[in-house]
Amino acid sequence: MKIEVNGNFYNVEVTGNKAIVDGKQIDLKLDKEEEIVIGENHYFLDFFEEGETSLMIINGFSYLVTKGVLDNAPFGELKAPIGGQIMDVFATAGDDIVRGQVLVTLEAMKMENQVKSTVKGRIKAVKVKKGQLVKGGEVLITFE
Amino acid sequence: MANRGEIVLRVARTCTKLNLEPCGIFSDADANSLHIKYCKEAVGIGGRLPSESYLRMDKIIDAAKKMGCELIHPGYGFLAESSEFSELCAREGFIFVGPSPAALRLSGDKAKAREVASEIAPILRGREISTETEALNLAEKIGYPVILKAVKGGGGRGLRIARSPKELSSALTSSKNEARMSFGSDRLYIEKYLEDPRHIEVQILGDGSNVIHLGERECSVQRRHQKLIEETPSPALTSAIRQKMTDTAMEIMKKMQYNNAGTVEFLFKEGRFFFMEVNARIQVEHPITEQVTGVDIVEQQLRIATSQGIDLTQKAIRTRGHAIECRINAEHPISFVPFPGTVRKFVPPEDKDVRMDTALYSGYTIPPFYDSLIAKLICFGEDRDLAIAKMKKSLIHLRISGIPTTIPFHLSALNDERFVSGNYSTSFVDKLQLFSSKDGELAAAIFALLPRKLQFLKDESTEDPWMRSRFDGIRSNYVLQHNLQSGWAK
Repeated sequence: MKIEVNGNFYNVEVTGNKAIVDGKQIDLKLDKEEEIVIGENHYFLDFFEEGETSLMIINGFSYLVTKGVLDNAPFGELKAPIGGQIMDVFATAGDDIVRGQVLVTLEAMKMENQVKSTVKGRIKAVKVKKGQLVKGGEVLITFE
Repeated sequence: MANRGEIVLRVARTCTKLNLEPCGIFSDADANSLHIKYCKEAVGIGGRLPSESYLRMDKIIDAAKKMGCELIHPGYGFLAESSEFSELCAREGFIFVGPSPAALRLSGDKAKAREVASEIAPILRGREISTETEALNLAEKIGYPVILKAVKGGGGRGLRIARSPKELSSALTSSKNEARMSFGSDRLYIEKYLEDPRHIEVQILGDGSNVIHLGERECSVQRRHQKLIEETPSPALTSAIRQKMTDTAMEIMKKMQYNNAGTVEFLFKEGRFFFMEVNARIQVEHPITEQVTGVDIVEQQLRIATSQGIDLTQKAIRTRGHAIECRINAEHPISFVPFPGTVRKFVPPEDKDVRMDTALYSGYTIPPFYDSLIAKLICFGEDRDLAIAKMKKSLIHLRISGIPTTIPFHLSALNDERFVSGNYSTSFVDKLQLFSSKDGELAAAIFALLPRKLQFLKDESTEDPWMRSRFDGIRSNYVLQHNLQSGWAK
């Protein structure tokens, strides 16, 4: 199954004490429900909040995990971090953008939220317009 | 010990060392709190909300009488800075472990404290205002942006920043209301707002005749004016400025005739510092000072309160190494919403130079009525880099399961280049990005495929969500940065 973790994709199958990750076999130890051992490393699942995108805290770090991402899921998208109304769009198709550039402002929970680019690239399409209501996770902008 | 949780354990430790018998109180919601077990005797005072329990002076005095107490230590928060309570203690024959009622009245009136300090320290322009016209005129004179603060306020609550007359007018109304509700007084003052400063405080001990300092603490890592990480020494101060700042702090406390442990808070920017306020209590972040000075601050508090005086001289205070504190709150790491619930497993990191001040234990259910601070992790190193490395390692090895905490936040902060270089200010958190470990991503993917029997659920059994007003509708950019990373495909 294809799984997205913090923006990275993994193809993972688990059968018994073995996992196949992107074609490579990995031995697991699964003695306890909230602990797995991969090689020498112990991973403790301290918190798990299930959702369309789940939150996990493992060994102090947090991970956003989406299961069952379609194989043909488009790459290079900017999604709405939360549901709300588009206040403004600051980019059009073909624009070259830099990391940290504010592309969209979104009003949610009575607050203005800036949706910034975290990579450098070129805009393929802007999927939303000013005033539009969007759901959390909805694609706002795609990149080439 | 008129408090709850970790600070009771902290004070009890020193009491035991000094052959004093620590006695405590607990609310109905705290019947299973660990602090009770560290008391020689403890009395239930009923109630759940602070206003029904730890703020009830009458119940606390009754409990102290019942147990035959001689001293009352207020900890931090609750009644710690109440001049009324310290007066009541004296009237009822108890020694209040804190400054005199006069010193508390002065430090508790932020406008008056500013005025007194202004004779000694640089302050930002501003003063108390009562009408809208007065406020607008003053803001015009000192220039926008300005910040509105409650005269009786504290703890970073009820602050409003205004960048125009229009913003100021609307902020006045909401600030007044909030101040009245939170602090029982709607007096406000206006100050020139300093953009992007650092927040540095000086730890003071005063006993009426003698005032000494125990160095500074850098407290710039804050979210919504709530401190999250503190360190000492501050990476921002040169020894010349440190000298000037600590001298100024001592002068202010002398002038206030301050007689206990207290803190003078400053804003610092581009080599200049400005007096902000005096915190007349032992502070949450006092352990880092203890780690670098070796001074037991609670012991000095008790000595001062019992008229034995400070048994230290300024010359004898030698600081060594570097200490950092991370405040672990029971909060959702994305929304920062407080998240009371049951701690399934608590395993503190066991390592040299690591201190943990907490009242947690495995199986403990965090009540939703009080502060979300559940543990303080304090790490020491011979230098700053070593202290940071020790803290990172400790955060990874600290197990608090069943509830979400600010541990992921701290690991992100400690891996941020600005923190590593020491070049950060109070806007640090706004630009913070999520940091996680690559090999952990694989583990997360595998966890996602494993069947799960155990439930991680928010405790909804109690009707009063944790200090709701304080957290309503607030989001930080950290949230967005965090979400954004998952919004991006590779």
